[in-house]
Amino acid sequence: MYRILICAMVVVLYGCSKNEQPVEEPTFTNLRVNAFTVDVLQLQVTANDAFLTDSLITPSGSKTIPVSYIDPAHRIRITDVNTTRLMADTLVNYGTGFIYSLTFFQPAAGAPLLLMGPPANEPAPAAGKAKIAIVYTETLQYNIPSAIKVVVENKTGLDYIATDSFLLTRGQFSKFFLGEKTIKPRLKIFTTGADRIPVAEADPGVFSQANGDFAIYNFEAISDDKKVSMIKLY
Amino acid sequence: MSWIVVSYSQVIALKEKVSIHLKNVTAAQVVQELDKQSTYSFSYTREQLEKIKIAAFDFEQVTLGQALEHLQRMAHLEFNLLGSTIAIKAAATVAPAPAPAAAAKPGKLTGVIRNDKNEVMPGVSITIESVSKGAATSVNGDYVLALAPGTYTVLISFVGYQSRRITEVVIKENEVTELSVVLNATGSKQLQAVVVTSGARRESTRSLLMTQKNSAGMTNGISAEQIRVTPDNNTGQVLKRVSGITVQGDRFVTIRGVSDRYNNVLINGASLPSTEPNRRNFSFDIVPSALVDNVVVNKTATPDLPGEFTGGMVQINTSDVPFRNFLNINVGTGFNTASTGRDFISHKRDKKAALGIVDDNRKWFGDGRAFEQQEYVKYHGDKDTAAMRQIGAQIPNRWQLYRYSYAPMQNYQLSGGASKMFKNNNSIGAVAAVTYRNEMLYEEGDARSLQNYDYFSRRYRYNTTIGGLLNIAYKSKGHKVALKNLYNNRYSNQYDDRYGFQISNDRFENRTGETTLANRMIQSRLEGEHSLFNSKLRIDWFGDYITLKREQPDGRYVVGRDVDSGKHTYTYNFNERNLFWGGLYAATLKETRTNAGGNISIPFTVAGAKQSFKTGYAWSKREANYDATGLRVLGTNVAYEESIKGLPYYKIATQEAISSGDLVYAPTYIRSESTGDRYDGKQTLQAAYAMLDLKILKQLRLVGGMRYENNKVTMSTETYNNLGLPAFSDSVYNEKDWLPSVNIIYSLTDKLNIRGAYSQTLARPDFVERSPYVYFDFVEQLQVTGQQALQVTRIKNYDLRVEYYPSGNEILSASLFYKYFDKPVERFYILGSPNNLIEYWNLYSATAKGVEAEIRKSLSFISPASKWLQNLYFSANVTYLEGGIKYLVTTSPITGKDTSYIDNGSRPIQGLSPYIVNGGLNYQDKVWGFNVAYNRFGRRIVNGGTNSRIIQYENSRDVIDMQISLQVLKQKAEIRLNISDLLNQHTIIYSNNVNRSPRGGYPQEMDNNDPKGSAYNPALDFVTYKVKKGTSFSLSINYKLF
Repeated sequence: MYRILICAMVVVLYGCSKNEQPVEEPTFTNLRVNAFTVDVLQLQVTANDAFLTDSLITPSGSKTIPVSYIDPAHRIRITDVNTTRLMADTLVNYGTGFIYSLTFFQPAAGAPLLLMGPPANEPAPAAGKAKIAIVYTETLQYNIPSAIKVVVENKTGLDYIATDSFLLTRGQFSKFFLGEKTIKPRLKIFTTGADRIPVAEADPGVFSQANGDFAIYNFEAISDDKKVSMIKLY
Repeated sequence: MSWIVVSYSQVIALKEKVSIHLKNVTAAQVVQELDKQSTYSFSYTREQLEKIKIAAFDFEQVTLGQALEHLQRMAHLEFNLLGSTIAIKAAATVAPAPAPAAAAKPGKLTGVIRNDKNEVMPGVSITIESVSKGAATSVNGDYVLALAPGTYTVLISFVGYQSRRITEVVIKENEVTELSVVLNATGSKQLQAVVVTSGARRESTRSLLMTQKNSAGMTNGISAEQIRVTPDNNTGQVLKRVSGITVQGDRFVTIRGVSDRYNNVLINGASLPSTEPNRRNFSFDIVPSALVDNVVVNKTATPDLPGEFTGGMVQINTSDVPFRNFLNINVGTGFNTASTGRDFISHKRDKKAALGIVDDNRKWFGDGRAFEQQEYVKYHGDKDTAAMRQIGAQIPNRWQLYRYSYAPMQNYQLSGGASKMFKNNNSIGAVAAVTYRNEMLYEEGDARSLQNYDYFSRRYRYNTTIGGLLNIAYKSKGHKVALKNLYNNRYSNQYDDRYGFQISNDRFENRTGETTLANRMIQSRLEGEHSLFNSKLRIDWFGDYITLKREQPDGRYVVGRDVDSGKHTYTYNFNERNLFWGGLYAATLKETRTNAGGNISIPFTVAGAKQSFKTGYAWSKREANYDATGLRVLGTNVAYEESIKGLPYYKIATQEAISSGDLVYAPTYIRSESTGDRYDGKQTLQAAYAMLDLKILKQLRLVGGMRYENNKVTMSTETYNNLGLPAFSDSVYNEKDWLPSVNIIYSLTDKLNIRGAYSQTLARPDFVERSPYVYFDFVEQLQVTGQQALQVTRIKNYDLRVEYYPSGNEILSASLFYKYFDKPVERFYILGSPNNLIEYWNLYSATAKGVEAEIRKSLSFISPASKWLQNLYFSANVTYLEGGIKYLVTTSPITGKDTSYIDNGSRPIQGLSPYIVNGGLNYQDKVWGFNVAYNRFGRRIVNGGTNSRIIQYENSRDVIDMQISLQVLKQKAEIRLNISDLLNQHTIIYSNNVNRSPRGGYPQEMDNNDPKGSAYNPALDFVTYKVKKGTSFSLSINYKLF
């Protein structure tokens, strides 16, 4: 009889044990990998050693790969297919949304790729403001000096008034300058000499897709009427 | 013709003058002399009266009454005046308390005494000849005698009946010996008493045979005596032993191939609410077999039975006063081959799911509700978003799935009973039981719906059933009052995970749904039986109060559209308001039933034969209240919707998103104009009947009469619009029916009957079928809608049966039957998009004609000397049925214009199988037993209609069940192994439509020109559902604590 009771107890206890484990369902996104390089490259991209693509062609390339994940942390490695040189090796957390973009930027020929993202130690902009940085490289098909003077203008009342200025060298990122969140800043670009010859202008519209906090733009082209078009790197 | 029954007081008032001068005679000689001198006839057992010595009986010119009074005083006799016959018997000796044997514990002799009409007989004298012990049967015809171990001769006698002397009745120490007897009435003119003598074993067999043979209607049944020798531990298993019954998984019953709609179940005489949400059936496994007094399955109607059955009526009566104290414990476990080793998936299981209790925060209605649905709908109508956010945030985020390990089935049963005897054989007793069952079941397979979807389906189920029973009764020779209580709590959780192509969306999708159902039913019944005027009048009465609460709380449905076919990357719709796109659903049903009634049975004598008249009245009131509503999670912020794309649903539909207003719970339902449906139903049913049980000739018995049923139903359905304003839809029904029935039994020999029967019966639509509310089956994408215009189905039943009883446990029978259904109800399957529909409609008429053959035969004829073969029985039951329907055509199939004519269809109505085959081999001895049962039923319609291409059939399949039992520990314990559905064939639902489009792509409605007709053809037919449910193995141990 005791054996029967013991067996019954075992069955009861086993039956009552819940063994409950939450099912972690994967998040999915379309990972868009952008690369803007000075060199012409064919790049292979892996995430946590899983192959994503090997046909990311630069100087301006983009590939979209659907990915599912539980843990958003991924080690992204980008390799030059031709030389097998490791061009980037970085940790990222995938973000949500139907498309999640990662943009890699090569600021100078032979330089490794940099992942564009929010600055590490830059103070957050004040309420209603956004911060933007810019960069240009030797791929820019225009006779632009290796160093330029940039004047930042923000709209005050009816007019745009200069609020900031800085010197910018080719292949270097500018400091973050302030602009309004809603009304974007305008840039005027001059030579660095005393004569300050106007080189080009960037209208507020080029920053229309700027993020609410930080954004980074790369010069894409300068038109005949000296208007700058830009590519959003971040 | 005189049939007035007069008691002893009238006997002594008889005025006829007699003179008698006798010395040193017996009582028999005195009675003989009285018989000579009077105009009355005397009926007595000569042998009894011969034993009574009378020294002198000397009276001159006294009245017959005075002479009899003297005789009564001298010889301790009892008299009854039955018309012109004076019945005399020796006064029953009340059994003294059994003297404890010096060395051995006493055993018990028990049984039931019935007459040749199968009526139990109270007041029958049971005398143990050698030890001068005796007892009288109770109002139920049963008796218990405690006797020292030994071999006895028992005399069973009653006035007007042939006495039976049973020899070789063996009483063993501390064991119960069963001795049930059937007494035959004597002719009233018979003066020469005859005592029939037979052996105990032979008498038991005869009793069993006569009980079956003498039933008024065509019945099959199993008595407590038979149940006690089987290893069955619940009523579902017991029913498997009743011929003509198919039991699915120990729980659901099909009789004569006829489905739920046309069957009825009475437990302790009351029709109980179904324990299942969408089928009219009762889960028999909640009643332990130890507490079953008897099970009777009626296949033909008699006026004293409710008019609402056609295929059969299962009557289960639980016991009340046990013949001895007992306490049994049963522990069982088992597994299912389709489920073992699986991870079980569902939303977070209720904390007390193992006890069948739903978490309070999942209840939308009643106590502990999350919110008031109508109030919320009004907030929505008023655009009071603050109130909606505040309420919505209280609804728990249960969207995440959880994984649970498979646990073996568990089954526990504790049952016991106690009784106490008082003087005069009066007794009080009680029986009680608690049962528990928990199981997890998995099935997977194809799920397709014409015009809707093509999925692979995974279904996970978690069920808990808790039952309780408590009966208390007081019983005496003439009276019995019992209070019977039944409790059932059934909890089931089903999670469906389906992936495949959704036609209306032109996408692959993942459609998941969780439906929890919690049923709680409590029945309390007070009943009484009274045998009055020395068994000349029998009255019984009852009162029931039954409550049922069924909750479907917090159903969770999710539709994920696969962005890239086969990649399982899902986006979710936050714009469409219809519940088709997922959401939450809750419903509640409360039902109360109050029943009361009584019956009077009056025996009388015509042409020297005992007849009886029975009349009765029953009243029943039923009230049901149903409420259902749904919620959809909708988006209010496009940026939020964009930002959360790619996240799993449980990370999107969070309480934070509801609180912040990025998402909102929108009241909704499956119809665009409704945010929830509700109905109230009331039914009052009154019934009265009168029936005669006549023995017209010695061999011819006629049982018949008329039943009248007056049924009043009021239905009020409310549909709530988007502003929370109700639209009412009411209907009233008053149906009055006269239901004649007659059973004629012609006994060609003691073992051969010919029976004919005619009856009119009913099948009433249930509340849900007459309410235009919509039940949405999210997983099946089906809208189930009732019809206010639905009419009662009226059935005329004709039966002819020849039955032969070779011995008490054996039967051979063959039947012809014909049934005419006027306005049968079917579930019509109708195509729609994105949901198909089920609607209840009446066909014009239907017929079913068939033959049925049945055999239960011991295999001892192979070798009569073999004890093993004597205990081996073969049983089989075969039914073949041809059906036809007539239906109204309102749209011409040729021109498409309106028309109106009646067309014919050559198929049985929904639920009827064209054939059913049951076969079994059963062996049972005192130590071990086995049972092998085979069942196959022909394809039967699960969803009907008039469009032959989309009628859905359940394919026939072969089912073999096995049981092996072994008695151990000196028969105090029993081990039992059960194997259910050994062959594990596919369960297939199909329709006779093309299964693939000839042009490629998904099939549309189109004839498949199947040469097999409506039979299943895997090459051509459209399969709606195809799964293997697995073979179940279970092992149980039953231990008799005392």
